[in-house]
Amino acid sequence: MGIRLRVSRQTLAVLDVLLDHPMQWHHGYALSQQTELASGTLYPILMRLEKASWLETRWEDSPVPGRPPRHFYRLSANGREWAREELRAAQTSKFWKPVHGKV
Amino acid sequence: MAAMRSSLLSRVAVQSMHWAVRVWPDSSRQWGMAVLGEMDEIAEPGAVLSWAAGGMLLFLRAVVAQVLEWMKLPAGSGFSGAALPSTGDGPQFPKHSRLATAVVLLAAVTLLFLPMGREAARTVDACWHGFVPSQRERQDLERLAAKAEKEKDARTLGFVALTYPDADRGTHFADEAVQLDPSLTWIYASRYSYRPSGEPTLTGERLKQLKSYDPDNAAVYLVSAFVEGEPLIENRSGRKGSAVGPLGDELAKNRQWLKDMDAAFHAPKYDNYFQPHQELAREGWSKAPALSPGAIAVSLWSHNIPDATQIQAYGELRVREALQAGSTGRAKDAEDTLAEVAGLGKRMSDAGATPYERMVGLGLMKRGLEGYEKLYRASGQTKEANEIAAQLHEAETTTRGHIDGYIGWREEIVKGLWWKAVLLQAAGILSLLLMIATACSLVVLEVGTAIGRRLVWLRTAMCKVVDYGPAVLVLTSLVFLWSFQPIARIFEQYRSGKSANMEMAGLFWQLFALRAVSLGWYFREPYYQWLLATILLVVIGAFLLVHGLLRAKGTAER
Repeated sequence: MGIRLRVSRQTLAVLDVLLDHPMQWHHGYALSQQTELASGTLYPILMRLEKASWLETRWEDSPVPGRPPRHFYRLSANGREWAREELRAAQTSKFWKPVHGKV
Repeated sequence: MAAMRSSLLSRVAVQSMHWAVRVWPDSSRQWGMAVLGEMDEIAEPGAVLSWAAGGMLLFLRAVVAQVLEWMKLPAGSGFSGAALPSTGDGPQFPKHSRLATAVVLLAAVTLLFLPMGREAARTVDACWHGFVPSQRERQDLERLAAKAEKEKDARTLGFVALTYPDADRGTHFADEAVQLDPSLTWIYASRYSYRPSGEPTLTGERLKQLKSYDPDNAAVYLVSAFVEGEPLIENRSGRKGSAVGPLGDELAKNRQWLKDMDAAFHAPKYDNYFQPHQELAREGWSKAPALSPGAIAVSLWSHNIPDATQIQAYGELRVREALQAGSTGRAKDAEDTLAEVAGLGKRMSDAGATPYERMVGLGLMKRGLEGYEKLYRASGQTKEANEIAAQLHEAETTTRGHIDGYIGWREEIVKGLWWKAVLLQAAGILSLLLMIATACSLVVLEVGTAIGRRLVWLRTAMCKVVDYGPAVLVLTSLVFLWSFQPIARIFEQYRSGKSANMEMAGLFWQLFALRAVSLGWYFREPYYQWLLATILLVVIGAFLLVHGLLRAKGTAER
């Protein structure tokens, strides 16, 4: 199953956005805008999720020549299951209120 | 204009991220690239800046994480394993991580940087410099004097005057102190004997001030006479044989010297100002406890003590004059003159604050009594002569008692402190060597990747030093502090104590013991430096020779 993560409100917000369209690939800036998290907060969360194998990542070359490739993210199958559980538990305990996703 | 500035800032932000990605630790570089990949998609300059700031924060976290990971590895090893030596059976890396080594080293350094550790280090350093004041001590004293000048603190200025190593500068502070508080005029008499520059700073004006400050004190006239007599004594030391006549006769040609000596022998009291000097030293040191004990040592050791040679020379002149007066029938004149000689001797032996002064006083008194005895025997006054002989015997016994008591007392104190001084310095030297060895081993292990492939034994030795050096350093630091404790107690008692004489004795002899066993002092002497260099070269040469022979033998056998 991977490593047990400390699930903060910010992490729950990221999971919520990722679960909103679970099969869709998201890029960092869009996640940042949707969760209203700064890059310095968002990326450590993504790094932890990836390390725990809840997150799948891929690179995509930019259509504009000379620009660096972009990194995309979505939850893995296990990750989706886990994220739903975490969001439900957080909601039940009134620790967190959903904004985007439907748990 | 604002748009231009925003655009410029955006470009700087993007460039900064490019640079960060280039130096980003390998293990997480992809995340830096991910942050960078988004930057071209952000249109608003403010958002670019904010995005870049977050990226830089991520970069710092990655660097810190990398450093922590690196610290968990032993010295000399890297993440890639490129630093691993390819040969050798022994331990090629230290057993402990860099973090463990750093923590133990930090503990040792912290011990040495505690207030007591710093004072111990200052003391040993001063002792290795033979208590010759350093530039830092001069600066400390200058700062203290500047503060005292601002606050019009005459006593602190007086302390600096008596402690400052350079006579000219010291005299400048003495002038300031005396100007603020004329009751400190005695300072002029207390620092004359310490003149590294060789130039007398006691000018006629200051001597005049001194004489009018304490006109009944023999010590001030003796100081004045020494100023007159010293050039002649220095000049005599350069001459030899028949060119050198009796000292008294030569000195007597200087009328001022005669006048001063006459006044000293007639003065009703003798006070060499040793007591106020050490009180001032105590006061000054308690105001500036961070001052090196070396500075205090200079202050105490530089106290002006009477020149026995000149006193004895004048005493001889007077005794000769008395005997001549006696032989021409002027017995009363002779007795008066001898009374002056024995009188000053008695005053010095009774009131002298240092054993040396008391001994000089006793010697002078005995010379006067010997004159009396000769005078009475020559005039046939046997009864009086016998009485004087008894007094002489008594003076002799007192002198012997003083000498024995002084030597015994000194030996007792020094013996008690000797091992502490040796232990302190040995622990200090060992700590210093360990620090150097550990630092060198760490540096060589980190940068010297070739070592280990060729000099396996050296690499093994360095690994041992890195593994055990810091722990032993903690131990030697503790011994260093522990052995300094009694010395620190004496220093503290001196700074804050009430019974001045005993603490003075303790401090004085402690410093003496430290100086006497100053191991580091030897290595400041060019002779010992050359000796050490020669021994090292011989050892290295012998090692290379034996090593070469063994290798040649091994090759031949193969």
